[in-house]
Amino acid sequence: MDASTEKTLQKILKVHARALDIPSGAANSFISHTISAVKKSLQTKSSSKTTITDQDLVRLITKELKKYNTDLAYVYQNYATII
Amino acid sequence: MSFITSVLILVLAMLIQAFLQLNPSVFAIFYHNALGKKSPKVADNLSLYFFFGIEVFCAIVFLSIYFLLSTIFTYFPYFMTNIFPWIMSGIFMALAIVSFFWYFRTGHNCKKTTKLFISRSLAHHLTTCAEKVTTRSDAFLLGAFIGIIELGFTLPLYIICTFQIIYFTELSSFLIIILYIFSALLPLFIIHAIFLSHHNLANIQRFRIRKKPLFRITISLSFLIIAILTLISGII
Repeated sequence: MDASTEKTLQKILKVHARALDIPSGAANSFISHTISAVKKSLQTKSSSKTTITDQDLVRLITKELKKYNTDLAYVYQNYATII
Repeated sequence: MSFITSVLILVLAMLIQAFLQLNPSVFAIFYHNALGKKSPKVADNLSLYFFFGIEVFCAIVFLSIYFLLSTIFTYFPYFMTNIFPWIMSGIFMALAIVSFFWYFRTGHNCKKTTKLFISRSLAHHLTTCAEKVTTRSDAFLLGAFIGIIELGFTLPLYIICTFQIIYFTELSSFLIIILYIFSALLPLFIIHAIFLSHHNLANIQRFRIRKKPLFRITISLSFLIIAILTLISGII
């Protein structure tokens, strides 16, 4: 995951977290934990030369976010299917 | 055309307008992003202008069709009383079928979503527009733009409602137009109230997915009943 993607992802998740009324301190904490966990998973997958699609990335992020807040994970996963 | 038939058609048209899902979905995204990027006060302020956009669009379309139908009625009364109801009945039958099968997208990965009939690129564009609303004029224009997208489903409703209220007094017609515009805004008021009662986009979306079959059946059944009522009133 490159720096710009990580920054964009953080920004998006922070907006969602604020809209969901999650305290900013807690949100920042589990967003950074989520991104760290996702980066580790991506490193493992890339070392085993598996192709990673955008959908795989969304699934990984959702899986990690669910450990902290199910509503945030749900909004992140289903955002594009609302309309 | 009997008074009861006219009232039934108007009520069903308002029901369909209230159950259509493009306005609520765009508003939910817009409000969610306004809460996330701005503050509740700004989100409420922008919502007002979003509602204005929808209201103004509805009012303009309604009044334009009212003027047009009144003119056609004056010059072509035979067409309006004998042929027009059959045409409208056919259109509503077609809409009943189309809305049941194609209003919500179908497919194996669409069951747990509320994806609508519009193209994916337009849906993405609407989501982006809803995210980027920062000013009152943006909110107003977004509200009006959504009205244009759903015209395929709503234009026949405007036409048939205008056709009913032509026979009413001016005050009754005015009140019915106000009520119709309010029916278009009702789901947005409900979503706004849900947000204010500390629920969030996740809860609203889960609710919409659970009620998706109800929305689909209500919209298509209402179209079908309007078609039958229009046909009956055309025959009698």
